[in-house]
Amino acid sequence: MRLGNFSVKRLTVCALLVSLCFVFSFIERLIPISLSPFGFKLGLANIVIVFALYKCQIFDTLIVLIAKILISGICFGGPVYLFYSLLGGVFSFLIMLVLKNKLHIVTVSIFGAIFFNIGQVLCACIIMSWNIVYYLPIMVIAGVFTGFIIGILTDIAESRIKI
Amino acid sequence: MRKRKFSVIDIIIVVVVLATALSALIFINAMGNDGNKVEIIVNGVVFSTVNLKTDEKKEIEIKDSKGKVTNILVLENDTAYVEWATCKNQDCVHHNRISKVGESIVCLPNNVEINIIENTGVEDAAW
Ligand SMILES: [Zn+2]
Repeated sequence: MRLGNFSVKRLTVCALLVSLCFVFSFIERLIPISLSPFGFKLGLANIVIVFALYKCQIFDTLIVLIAKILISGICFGGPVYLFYSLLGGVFSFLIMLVLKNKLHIVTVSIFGAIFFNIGQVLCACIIMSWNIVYYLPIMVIAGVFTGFIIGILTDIAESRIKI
Repeated sequence: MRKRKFSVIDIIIVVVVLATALSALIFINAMGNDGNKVEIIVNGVVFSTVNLKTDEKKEIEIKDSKGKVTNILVLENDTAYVEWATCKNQDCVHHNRISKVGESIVCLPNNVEINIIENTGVEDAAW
């Protein structure tokens, strides 16, 4: 059965990934750690995004990413948060797309995390004040660490799971 | 397709980024002198500016435009921190104490921003 360009398999995989995002976001909600106004989240759901980046088509990955942002924004963050993650999400998606085949998956994940944070800080700078730009270095460092952990986990998942 | 090996290039790039960020962080911290004023901004408008240094612990209720208390800021031992907030994520409450110029606590959900600034000669607002 085909739904336009979407095979049932593609659709199912996307749906599965989106629900995984939801589960990861929920688990993360249970362990709050905060070092900045943006929180200091590991971003477990990003495992799914990086995984999709390597396993799915670009369009599908984008769908999963947007769904992830909407879900975590609406259920776990609130509307303002949604706005911040949207810019961060787009930033991280673009940089990961560019670096995807040039660098190792762990490095790609690190850059994804860094640019997610940069996007959020920029968004906060625009909405609130440029004082927040002081957070940039610490957010970049945080991105390196969270991105590294996410990258290692995704590396394992990516090499073992066949779609 | 996907690169299988974590190569020297990967390491170099990550180290360079990390080193840049670290030096920026150290630079910002070295530049930061202790501030003497706390500026509270709600919805982009200065709610009030108060002295950071107080003789005793002081609590400040931060209110939104409807007069509802959204965050409680505490000034103590020349530092400022948020003790209580209505926001869902509570990031502002968990934030470290701030005391240096340029440091800030932000509550994104409540659109509240608390900045440490240097004395600009502006008088305290209604305290
Ligand atoms: Zn808050």
